[in-house]
Amino acid sequence: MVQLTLPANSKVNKNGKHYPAKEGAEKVRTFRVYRYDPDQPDNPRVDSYEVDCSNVSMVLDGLIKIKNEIDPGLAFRRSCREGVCGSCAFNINGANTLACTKSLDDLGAGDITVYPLPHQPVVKDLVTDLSNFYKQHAYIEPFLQARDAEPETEWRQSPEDRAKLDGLYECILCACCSTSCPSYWWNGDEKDTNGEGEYLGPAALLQAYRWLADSRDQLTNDRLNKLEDEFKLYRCHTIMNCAQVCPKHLNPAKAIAEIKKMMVTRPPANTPKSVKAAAE
Amino acid sequence: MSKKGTTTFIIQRASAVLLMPLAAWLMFSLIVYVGAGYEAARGWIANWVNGLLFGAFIIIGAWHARIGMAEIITDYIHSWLKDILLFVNWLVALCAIVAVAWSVYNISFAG
Repeated sequence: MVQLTLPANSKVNKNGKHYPAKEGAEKVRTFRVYRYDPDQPDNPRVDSYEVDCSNVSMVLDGLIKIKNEIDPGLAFRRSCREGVCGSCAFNINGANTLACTKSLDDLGAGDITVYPLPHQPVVKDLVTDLSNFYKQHAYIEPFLQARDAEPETEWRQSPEDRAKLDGLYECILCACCSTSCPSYWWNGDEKDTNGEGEYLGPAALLQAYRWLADSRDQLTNDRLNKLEDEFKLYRCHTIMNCAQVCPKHLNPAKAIAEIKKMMVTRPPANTPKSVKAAAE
Repeated sequence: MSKKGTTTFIIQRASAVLLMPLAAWLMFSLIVYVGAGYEAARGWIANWVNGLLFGAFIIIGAWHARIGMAEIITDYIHSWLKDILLFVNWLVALCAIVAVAWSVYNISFAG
């Protein structure tokens, strides 16, 4: 069976610490933050921090304030602070998003809960291990591939063909989509040594379609062959969490549907079986 | 791992499309025969057109259900149990198909 409940050592205990607001603090908001230290034998806990948010607009600003002024031990990734690098993707109030672009005003008046991205191994606190996610991205070969000789200048592309990449190239690989997908939770890792039984997830498949849709790329059929089994592409059941949470407002589910259309409409001569038979 | 993802995908959609008019036809027929007895129902299937359409509904429905159930098993069962359940799922669909084919043949064509 898939793992429907957390393993024993991942269950959140009730030993979370509370950090009250300082005297005279204004506009106090409570951040409830997941904490886990692999060097300690304890299970994860949730610490609550009362933060003076008078000069805080985004969730990331609040986390940075906690780290700078209250608890320097809190670990989380961040870099650009403007929704470009994808580092600060967390589960905030139950939905995956970027902390740097999520306004406190959008989260209502209650507590703000910040957890790591779901169903990923936690390195420390809000930092998850995304090695498998990046491996899946590498699998789809995210770069231009052509059989023709390289031109002396540039690979030319019409404005119409370039427009087909809009809504695809903007992905920042924050992993919000993949880690919000139940199908990815159950089947996002390899089941055997051949690398089979692995759903690539919305992010990798959006990028796969970005190159399938690129008029300059000439390995369309090879790319489709790499996705042709029961898992890599077809574990998408159009749950649509990916489109719901994408902080860049992209639609990975639509890209996956487009790949399925390409699979169905490509000539039978291009299917893997025929390719294999031709090789023999 | 077989490379049959696209084939399964196409069969699942094609069978769903075929089931739509067949389900509408069956619903209409069942409403017409509400309250009728066993003999009336048997007489309805004895008409070869009805028998053929009814048989097609069950056979296509069983195969569509088999694919759907296999998707669920593949999604959630990752142990040695998976292959056994997939086989049982396949066997159940096959039994349903053989049973209905045999019944329709006897009632609609051999009777």
